[in-house]
Amino acid sequence: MTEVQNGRLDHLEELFERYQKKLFNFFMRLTHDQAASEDLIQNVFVRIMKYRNTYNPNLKFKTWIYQLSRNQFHDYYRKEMEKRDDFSDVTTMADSSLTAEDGYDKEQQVQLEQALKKLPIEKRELLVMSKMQGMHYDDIAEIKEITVANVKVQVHRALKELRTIYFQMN
Amino acid sequence: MKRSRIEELMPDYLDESLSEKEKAEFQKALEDHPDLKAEVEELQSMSNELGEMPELKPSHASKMRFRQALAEEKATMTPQLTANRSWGYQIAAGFALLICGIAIGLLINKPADNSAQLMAMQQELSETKSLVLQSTLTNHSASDRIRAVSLTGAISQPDEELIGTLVKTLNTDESPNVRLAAAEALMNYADSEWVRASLVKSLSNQDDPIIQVTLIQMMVRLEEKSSLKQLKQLSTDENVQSVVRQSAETAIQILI
Repeated sequence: MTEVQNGRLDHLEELFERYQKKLFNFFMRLTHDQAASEDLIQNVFVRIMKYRNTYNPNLKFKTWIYQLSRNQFHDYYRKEMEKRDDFSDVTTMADSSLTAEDGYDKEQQVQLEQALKKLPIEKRELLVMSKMQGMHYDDIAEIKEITVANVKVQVHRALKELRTIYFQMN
Repeated sequence: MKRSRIEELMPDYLDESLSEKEKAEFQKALEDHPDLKAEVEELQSMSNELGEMPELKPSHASKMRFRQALAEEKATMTPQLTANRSWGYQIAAGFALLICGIAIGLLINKPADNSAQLMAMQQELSETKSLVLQSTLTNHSASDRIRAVSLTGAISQPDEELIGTLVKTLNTDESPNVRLAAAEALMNYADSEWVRASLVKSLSNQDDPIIQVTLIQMMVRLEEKSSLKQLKQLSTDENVQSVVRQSAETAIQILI
């Protein structure tokens, strides 16, 4: 990223290659909307490109890009919520579901994805980062600006709530 | 082991962060609580299942869009190499033609009062840009809006309407990227008291941390002491990110 800050924008392409899939999966699990997820990735990289000089080299690039991504997602989420009249529907944003076409080989995975959709957004985000993207608690703590102990407790609560939803559905 | 202790250790057990001894004790204690044992197994299986969810693939178009944006950004860094690329350059070309036209007009008419003609020319240019800017800001995509806002930087004597449009963009455009470009464009005209006051006022309107930090840095560069009230507000606002609060605090130290 320091290279990018020095005006060598070609290096941004490497960063894009490295993070595109990760961010796409992050956004997809939160929005369930392919077009929106791709727009969000684009927004994140345009911001990195335009505001490369605001990057603090003491911060891990991964932390910065996920902080930007979370901000972008929360903006998007807020706007989506404003568009909706029915606030009872806040936990499911897009109606397009992930299906077997997306590579789900087990019925349980599809059901789990459905249960995940019903989880409040903050908890869903935590499970996506920790369980699905395999991020370490200290990275998540840095991204969310909370303590590692706090992350651990919140992840456990989210997992328990997911279990409750999952069994209610079945 | 008490039930509450088992529940307390459960997250660490699931994360495999218990010592071998603690793990053995935990597993032994679970035998006395079949419901907790079932819960642990279910959470474990759910946790594993989440880790094995299929990876979704973005479309190829996503990468193409990024490459295009990258190419455009590179073009703004080396504008002389990229003629005829976007409407931005077409507008620039339009202005160049306009200037030529007026200059030729001046030569042919050999006016008695050159300065009056020049002033008229400048005003006309500024008005044209205002019109183009306003139309672009209402009808185009975010990246077009950014380009339109950035183009205003070339005007040395902007009219009130143009400044007003930029201020409005800074405070109301839905895209934070466009708002930031408007802040940067306004910085070119910071000699004007009105512009400085608008930047100060905008500090309280923004909710995006990058724009907040940029505006704070502008206040320091402009040595704008009238922003202290807004900066103090930001430095104590629990709803803004810590990086913004810290920037505001640093700015206060410098400005006081």
